[in-house]
Amino acid sequence: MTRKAGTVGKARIAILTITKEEFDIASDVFGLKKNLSATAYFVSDLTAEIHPIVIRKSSAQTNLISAEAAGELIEDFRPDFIFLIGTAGGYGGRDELKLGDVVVADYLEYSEYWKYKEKRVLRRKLAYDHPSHFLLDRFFEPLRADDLLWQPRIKVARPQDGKPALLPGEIVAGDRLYGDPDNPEQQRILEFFDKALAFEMEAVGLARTVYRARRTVDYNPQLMVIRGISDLVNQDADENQNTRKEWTPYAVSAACAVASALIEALIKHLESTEQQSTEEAGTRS
Amino acid sequence: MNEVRKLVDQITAEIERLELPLPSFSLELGWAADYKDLFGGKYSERSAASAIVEKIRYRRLLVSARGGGAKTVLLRRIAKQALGLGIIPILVSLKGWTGRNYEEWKAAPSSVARLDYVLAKFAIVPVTALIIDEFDSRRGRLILIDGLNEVNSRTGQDLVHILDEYVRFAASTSVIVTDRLVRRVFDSQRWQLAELLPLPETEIRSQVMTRFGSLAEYQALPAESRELLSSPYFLDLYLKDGKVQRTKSDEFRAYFLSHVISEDELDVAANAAFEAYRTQSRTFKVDDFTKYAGPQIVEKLRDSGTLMIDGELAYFDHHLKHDYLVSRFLSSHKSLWNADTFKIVSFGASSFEAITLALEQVPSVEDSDFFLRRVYDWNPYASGTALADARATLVSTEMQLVMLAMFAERRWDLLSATAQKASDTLQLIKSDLAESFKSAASLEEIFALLLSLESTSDWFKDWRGLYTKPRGAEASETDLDRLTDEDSVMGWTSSNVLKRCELSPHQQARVRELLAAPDAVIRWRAAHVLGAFPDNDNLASLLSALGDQDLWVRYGAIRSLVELAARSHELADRVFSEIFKKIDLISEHWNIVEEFQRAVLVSEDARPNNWRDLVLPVAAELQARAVTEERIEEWNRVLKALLPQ
Repeated sequence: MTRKAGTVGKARIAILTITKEEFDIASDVFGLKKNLSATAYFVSDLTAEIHPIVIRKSSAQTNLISAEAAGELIEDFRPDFIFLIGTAGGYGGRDELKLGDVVVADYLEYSEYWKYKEKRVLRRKLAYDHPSHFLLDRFFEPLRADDLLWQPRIKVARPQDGKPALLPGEIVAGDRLYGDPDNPEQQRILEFFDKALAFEMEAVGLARTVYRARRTVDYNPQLMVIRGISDLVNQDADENQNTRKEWTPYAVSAACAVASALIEALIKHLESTEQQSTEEAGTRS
Repeated sequence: MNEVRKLVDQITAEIERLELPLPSFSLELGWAADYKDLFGGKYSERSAASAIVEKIRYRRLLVSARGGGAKTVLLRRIAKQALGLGIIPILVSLKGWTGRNYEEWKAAPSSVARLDYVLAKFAIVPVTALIIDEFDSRRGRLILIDGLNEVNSRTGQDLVHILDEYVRFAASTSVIVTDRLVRRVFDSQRWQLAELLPLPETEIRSQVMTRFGSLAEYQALPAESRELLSSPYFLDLYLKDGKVQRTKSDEFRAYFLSHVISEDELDVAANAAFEAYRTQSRTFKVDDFTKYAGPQIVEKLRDSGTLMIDGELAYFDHHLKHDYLVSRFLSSHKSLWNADTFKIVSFGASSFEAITLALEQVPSVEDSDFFLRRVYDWNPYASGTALADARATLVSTEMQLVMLAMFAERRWDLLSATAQKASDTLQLIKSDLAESFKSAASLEEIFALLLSLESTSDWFKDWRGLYTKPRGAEASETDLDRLTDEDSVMGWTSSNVLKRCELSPHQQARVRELLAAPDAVIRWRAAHVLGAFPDNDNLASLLSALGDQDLWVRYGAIRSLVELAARSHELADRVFSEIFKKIDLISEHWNIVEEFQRAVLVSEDARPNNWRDLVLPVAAELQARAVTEERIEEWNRVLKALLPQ
């Protein structure tokens, strides 16, 4: 585990949120209420030498801005793990997805890079990281197997009866809000990414920054995207707007519930590994 | 590991070996919050240059200075200071950059490869980014780039972006770049800006006193000469010679005549120096230079230490001497006062010293005004910089007023990039006349300033009559005739004035007809006017002008098309759909793409609410056609700038 610090300090885990609502709920859940002076960062203990978790809010939506915010996080803390936590629009019905469910990305797609040629639309691709296999395999899968590990952590009342599901799946990030199911470009995107469960505007910005940050052998940042479903992109536009308003607090809380259970287990693992390394070093000396 | 240590030892030895000029001047920095403050001379703090390392907050600092401001000395001092603090300095000088380097730079396949290219070619000890990563991060690393202005503006800008990202992800690494007073675009908000300030009077007096034991001669100098001594370069010369002239160009002339060559030989050397700049480099082949200068002059230049010869290559010991020779040649060859030449002597609008020095040497009012007009035609901001930096020129007050009025009005241009550049240029000009234009808050106040001047100049009165036509006034047929005026100032003024006038449908049709004029400049001016009149006929004409054989007409057309969309919310959707259909024409030339990028950055309060959505399909398609990582990133910057602030 690298211990090289960034400009501000060292953090093991960084959390990026986008909206104020997401930030408020996430900082509550993780107890990150202390502001590092003159920065956008919040931690649990200002005096800690290494912050277990640091959180910040991106200044706005879109991949361009999340890329910048993630870049600053890496420059300032060189975190080993970066989580993007918040809400997304879901494709209702795919894999039985419904409002309030939580999608954890197992693959990321970018929906803004196309070439229009002779009445055809050709896909162009950018290089970026994908969600960490280590995190998915070791920490996400146990949560899928046992709902009680995360569901009781949801602190906001569910707008309707039912229970949230936890799903791995493809998340698509573009730079436009998909709020009009009748819009031809939106329809094209939704059909093109026929396996995608969730649509949002920031994951690829983070993923591209993580990809670009891999320039030395001693820095191996890993990312994870956790999105609560606050609205359905294949629903009527007006209805969708109201749905989003109604479901956002719950969706954020559900995403944070998953994230907190996962991060708690991750921190335990990191501490145990570190202790083991220290003991081994002591034995050798 | 041993190899890395050896390399660090080698760097240490090279930095320690670097000589610093004596006497040593106390250099001071003015720290500015942004370029606006920097150009306006508003500093949040002043500090000794020696405090620079501890004042870098976010590991990125750009230090601007005028030519002869001691940028190289500053970086050498910092490199030595860094060593003392245990930091590993990587000192990179771009002074040896030649025309061939542009090709190699372009051929490098990625941004990291380009950074490696610069580090391997121009660092005091060749390194790569990968090697720097292997240096002990506990010591910290400091990359010092001397002379961003030594490369053309596009390369300089690309290098800033590359350094920005490198520093972001490299542990414990900072960067300091020196540059001229030109605006750069930064990806992150983490660049600090500082200006290497002119030497204060106290420092000059202290140096003079130490050297001469008296201030009498210094105090007797004319004000212009004393001002010249605030430049470390000229103070150094004065301390050696005890003489100083009134202008920079006079000073160089005196230097060459008293130490190096005769007046006749100076003209021959000037020709050779000009030919050397054709390679777009301050380093050139000795043989090529000798062909024009002759062996005797080369010998004299070399023996005096003015020309440094290194194998088959040569360069002047200070680039300002080379700039002076070039400016001497330029000022005496009126036939060369054109865009092609200005591009050569300014390294593609990156460095305006030769133009400024030339302006000081033009021998008559009429020619000085003409020279400035020609520079203005090529690059308005170069003419502004020359006005700001040249001393004791013969430029008429009337011509200065024309320039100042144009810059002052452009501060309110619909397109943000134009408005910003005009504002920057105006800020740089420090005369009393300029101050009144800076404080003018409306077009009417600019008119009032112009009308308050008593002038006997017919051309000025003619120009003023045209320029002071109020916003919304009906244009006359004579005003339209002026679009075809051979005098570029009148022609362009007419173009700008017509944009703020009422044009009847018949008059607009007349302007459209001019898009078929044989002279490309007239077609360009017509395209410029049409941007102010959103309707379908003008849209159709501007769309066909995108296919004009002249690049500048296309440039004017794309700009005006975007302007039509910004001015008419009803037409905006159609304008961008039609632009999309012409995308092959636009993407043929990067200059046109760049102008589109600049044009779409219309100020937020002047554009339709869905502006970003309108621009996005064209931008996304042009981005998909971008062939390099840098060009893709440029589109990302544009798209980011279009987000609501």
